[in-house]
Amino acid sequence: MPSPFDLYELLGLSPSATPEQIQQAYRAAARKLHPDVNTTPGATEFFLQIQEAYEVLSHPERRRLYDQQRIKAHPSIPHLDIDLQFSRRAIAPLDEPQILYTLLIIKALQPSTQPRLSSPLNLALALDTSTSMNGKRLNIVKATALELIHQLQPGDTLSLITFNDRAEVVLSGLGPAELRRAENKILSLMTSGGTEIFQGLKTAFEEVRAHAAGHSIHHIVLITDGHTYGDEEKCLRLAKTASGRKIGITCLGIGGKWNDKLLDQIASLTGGACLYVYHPEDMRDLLTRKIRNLKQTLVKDLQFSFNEPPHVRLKHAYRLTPEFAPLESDSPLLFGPLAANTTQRILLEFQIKPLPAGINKCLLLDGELSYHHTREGTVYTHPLALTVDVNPEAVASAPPPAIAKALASLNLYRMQEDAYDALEEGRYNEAREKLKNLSTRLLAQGKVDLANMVASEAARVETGRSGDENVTKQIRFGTRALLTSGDLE
Amino acid sequence: MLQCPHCHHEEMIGTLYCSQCGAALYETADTAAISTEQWKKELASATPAQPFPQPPPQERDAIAALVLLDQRREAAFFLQNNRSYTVGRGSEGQSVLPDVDLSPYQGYELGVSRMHAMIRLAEGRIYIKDLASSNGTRLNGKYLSPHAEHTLKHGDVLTLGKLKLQVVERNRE
Repeated sequence: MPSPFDLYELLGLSPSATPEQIQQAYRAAARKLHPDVNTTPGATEFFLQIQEAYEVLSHPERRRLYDQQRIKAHPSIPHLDIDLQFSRRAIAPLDEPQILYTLLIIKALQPSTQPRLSSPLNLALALDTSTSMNGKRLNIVKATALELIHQLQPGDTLSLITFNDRAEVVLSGLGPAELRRAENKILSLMTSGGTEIFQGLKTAFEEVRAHAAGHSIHHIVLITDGHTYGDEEKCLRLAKTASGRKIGITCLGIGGKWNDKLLDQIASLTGGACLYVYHPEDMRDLLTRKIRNLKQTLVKDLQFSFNEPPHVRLKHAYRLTPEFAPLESDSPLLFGPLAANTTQRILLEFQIKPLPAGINKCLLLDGELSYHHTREGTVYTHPLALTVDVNPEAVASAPPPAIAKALASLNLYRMQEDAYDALEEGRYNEAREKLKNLSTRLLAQGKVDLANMVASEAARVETGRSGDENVTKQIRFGTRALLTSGDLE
Repeated sequence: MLQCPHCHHEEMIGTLYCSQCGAALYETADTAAISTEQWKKELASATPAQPFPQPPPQERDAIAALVLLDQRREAAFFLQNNRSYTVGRGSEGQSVLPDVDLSPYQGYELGVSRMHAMIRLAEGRIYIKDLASSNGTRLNGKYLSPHAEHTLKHGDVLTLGKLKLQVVERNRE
């Protein structure tokens, strides 16, 4: 079993090091890290790793075998362009915990000589037809569904599921020509009853599974405007199952009265995203863009399975672009599908425990990046290890502009999350102060309307009036939008 | 641990932005700090109200003005009814400039924050709110608590960091 570390990196050597250099590097490291002299927690573990590295590299035959393996394990990843940026070039070994941010920028490369990609889609549209959707909302949803049908191409299939207290399959896995003949079924949709998301999601899941042909993109689009009650856990379990079957879920919430935290989680569990529809009219744009991107998927099921070394904790993970989503920070991180020549930006926040003196590399995450290449129909797996230099002389330096900019906006989103969490837990003063501070920061970014909205929320908290879910959602998704707006690219 | 220079909240080393107030925790060319010694030397003294300056045509409806109190130069910012104005200091690379930009009047050297205060006019009345600025806002020498709105009247002197502005209402001419 090869060590996850690059053995040369571990000893601070280049792969062309001479046997003498290897011996010198080992002795220097061992002197510093030997359990007899270094009692810092974690030092022994590093010592053992270094010892193992030395045993392999000092033995000519074992080194030759290792070199062969190493070259095989580190080819450049063929379809992806990966760039890694760290908030600091090197970290100092400290006797207290510290934070490090990493920006992972992944671009799916498609040679310009290849024709434009068009992956077959296996879609299910789950529409909330509860009473609250009646009128304008339902009319716009109908118009959007009809438009979506015209966007589909031969080879694509669509199922239409409506749900309120129960779910119904209106159209089951039809191709574009059959769908056009069935347009009157969409036009005659009616509303009644309440919103039970699990029913809709489960039926959509079954439809997608029933029409899953080998290499198509399986995706559920859930459109709702209401709270679901009592079936949250079941929804989350289903999302996990869907993810295991490589089915992505996109959630669209209309208006103010839907459970954004739940829909966020459902989407994140499958590598999808949750989008907020303030004006029902915006839905058309959101959905047509979504379908276009899905059709151009070059790699799907992009994910990073990893081990956390004992001295590191991945505290938070976010996909910043193309669609913002808070990611579940456990292995595997699900990044979702990636369209040809588009870029995904993932921000990782690490908490690093106190480090022993004498080491010069710190492993952050070690694992495998895997994806399904839609054109080739093959799954690729590549080792990916994130390490940062450790240097006692490391001084605080300004972070790279891309990280500084991303975090400046992400921090505003998080202040808002913290403020509402505090509010929910009855810490009113904290919530009010955070909202006031957030308002000032938003003003400084020129987001006057959002700043005013946040300021009036602070005033509302002060007087103890109850909130308006519409406002909460506008603030929550308004601060998210700061991250996806073009000037961050 | 790191302490936020702005609100003294504690964060782990390596954190880039304060989770409490949103301030950057790494070196940036932000507001110049002014020592408290300098502040103490400055005592509030009543300043007679300046005459209302001649507004340019586009500001002919202005009901009040902020007049710069600086012996070396003259400047005035006009305020219209039922509008809000951000007051601060524009700087290079900043995408959004405050409505009242004090950078040409030594805003940086005098300790004006990028978004220092907000002035609001409603129904003929004028209000000010300090936006948790680094060096604070004083009204006739007294510090304003951040984010709280105060009413302004003719002749009031505002001190942003060390930069002074006087409120002049038009109908007092």
